[in-house]
Amino acid sequence: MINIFTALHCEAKPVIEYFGLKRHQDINGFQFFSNGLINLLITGTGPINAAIGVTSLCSVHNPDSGDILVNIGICGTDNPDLKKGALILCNKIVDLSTYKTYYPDMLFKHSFIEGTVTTSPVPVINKCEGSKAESGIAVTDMEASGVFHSGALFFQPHQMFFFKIVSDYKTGEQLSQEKVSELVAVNAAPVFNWVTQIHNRLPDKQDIFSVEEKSLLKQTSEALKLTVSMQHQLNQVMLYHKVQYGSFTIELKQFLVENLKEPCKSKNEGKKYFEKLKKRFV
Amino acid sequence: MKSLKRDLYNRAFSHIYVERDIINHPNTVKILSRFPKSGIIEINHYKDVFSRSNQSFSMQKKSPSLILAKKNDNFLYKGAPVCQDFGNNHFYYTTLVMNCIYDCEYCFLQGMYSSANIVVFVNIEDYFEQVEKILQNHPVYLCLSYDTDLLALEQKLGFVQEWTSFAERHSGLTIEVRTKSSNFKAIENLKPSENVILAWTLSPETVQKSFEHNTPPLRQRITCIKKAIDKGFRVRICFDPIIYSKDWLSSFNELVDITFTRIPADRVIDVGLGVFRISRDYLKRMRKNRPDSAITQYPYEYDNGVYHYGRKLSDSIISSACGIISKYMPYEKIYIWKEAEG
Ligand code: SF4
Repeated sequence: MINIFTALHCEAKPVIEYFGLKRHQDINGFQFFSNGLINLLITGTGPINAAIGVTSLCSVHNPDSGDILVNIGICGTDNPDLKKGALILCNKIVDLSTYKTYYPDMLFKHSFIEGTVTTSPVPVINKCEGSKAESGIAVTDMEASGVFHSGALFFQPHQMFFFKIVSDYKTGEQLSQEKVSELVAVNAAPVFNWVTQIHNRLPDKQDIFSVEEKSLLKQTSEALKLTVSMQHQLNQVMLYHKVQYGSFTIELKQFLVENLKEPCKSKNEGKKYFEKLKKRFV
Repeated sequence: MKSLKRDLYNRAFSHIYVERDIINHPNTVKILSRFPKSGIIEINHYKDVFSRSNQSFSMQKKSPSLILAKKNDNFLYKGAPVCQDFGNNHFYYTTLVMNCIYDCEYCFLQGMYSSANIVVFVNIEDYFEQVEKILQNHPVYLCLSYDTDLLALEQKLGFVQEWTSFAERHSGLTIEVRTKSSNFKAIENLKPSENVILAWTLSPETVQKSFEHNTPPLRQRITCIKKAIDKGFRVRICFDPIIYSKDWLSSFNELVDITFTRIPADRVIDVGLGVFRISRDYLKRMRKNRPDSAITQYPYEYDNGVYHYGRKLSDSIISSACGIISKYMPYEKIYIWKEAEG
């Protein structure tokens, strides 16, 4: 699942269109769109709204290790070299109200410009202290730190991506909603092609044992009258065997047939067979 | 399962985080000059990146970043009783670098640290000062490459060179650099000296291939050892950790034979020997990081906070290994790692 967070509807619109998302029931009052594979939630502006929005969605749709978080939206900058519409992938997020810094992992190859985003709880007009202190590419927004702060409860730092699109030079210029949508629309394909590629290859969380393996382990521990701690040992022995040799089911079934035509009568008898089993499988 | 292809990842050290306070330190400048294509991100403190919560050690290992930092205290640690001290009374170790460019499945670092990024403490002069203070009281045996493989990083850091010249000026100091590197170039210009020991860890070919990812093959390590000995370096060989499998004995036999037919045993100062063992907390994390490893998932026995192969098996491995090595080395030159009592 790719979970996308934007502050405004006009930022979300091109993404909704890009993926063909449908509006679903609001989550905690936040507008929510989805197509079953991609979720999008509109958080409203400011880091607190962003944090609550992320928590709301992720509490309902609990992400796992194969899922991704994307925060995309417009930003301001002092840097005249960054053209309107320039796309920045953030490698550092500074929260202007707490001066806390957040670092998404930068593990994946890309061709975007990287930079620092400073998140302010209020719109920043003219030179802002926080962003001035940052060297290199620096932009300002109102959500990234909130998204990261909450996102970190549900995602690992390599699963979170923050894209900011330059929309103004902090002069107080008011952008129309259409203009904002246009800036995001131009960048939707490069961002989401890249993100989808990563998502397609991120390993999902897997159960260590299949349903069949689990039931065979249960059958074995019942036949051997194993205590709870011996059941843990049995699982560990079989997990080792599986990792080392690929599987254990055929061999374990064979062991049961050869040794335990009937279940053990006592725990002591079970212990004897358990020792034999360990010798065979380790 | 979806699989991640290597081409998706940035190369190692594509990103370098640098603490603001040491951005102009000569070692920072030198190290950064060796990574001209890397992106640099300024940070306040290395822990802001290194100690973030909920990181994936295994994912970061695919594209580790470098973090340049300043160490402010604890420059040296007194060796714990469980450390292999090779008969030295004043055994210390130090953390110049945290984490390693290699990726051994049995490595305790993946249980110790929450991040696979590599932290380098650039203020080497503060370590030197601390060593000099201790040297005023007694000699020091210092293990340099404890939480890393320093020699493997030598061409980027140059720390082994700095420490060997420091050792040359301080006769009471003996330094040990433990490594799996086969890069002789990194040491060919160093001056061998009495108080510098290069300690190579060797494992059977099967273990190296299956479990010591990104490390040089056994034969390359042996070639490098031979060159180091020929150049006059004092060399120790460590068969530690021995990893148990059903055929460990034959692979170990082969390893020792290959080693000592290529390397004259009488020119090796001693041999270290140990069986794999790991603390409970570390193994717990290692199993989470590496659920599909036969090393992390082995059903170890547990006592006193440590997981091991069981006394009986461990003792029999050690005694067989000792017997095999003793074909080439006298027993008094074989140092065995002993588990702490209690
Ligand atoms: S070489 Fe040593 S420090 Fe490096 S990964 Fe292997 S065991 Fe760990």
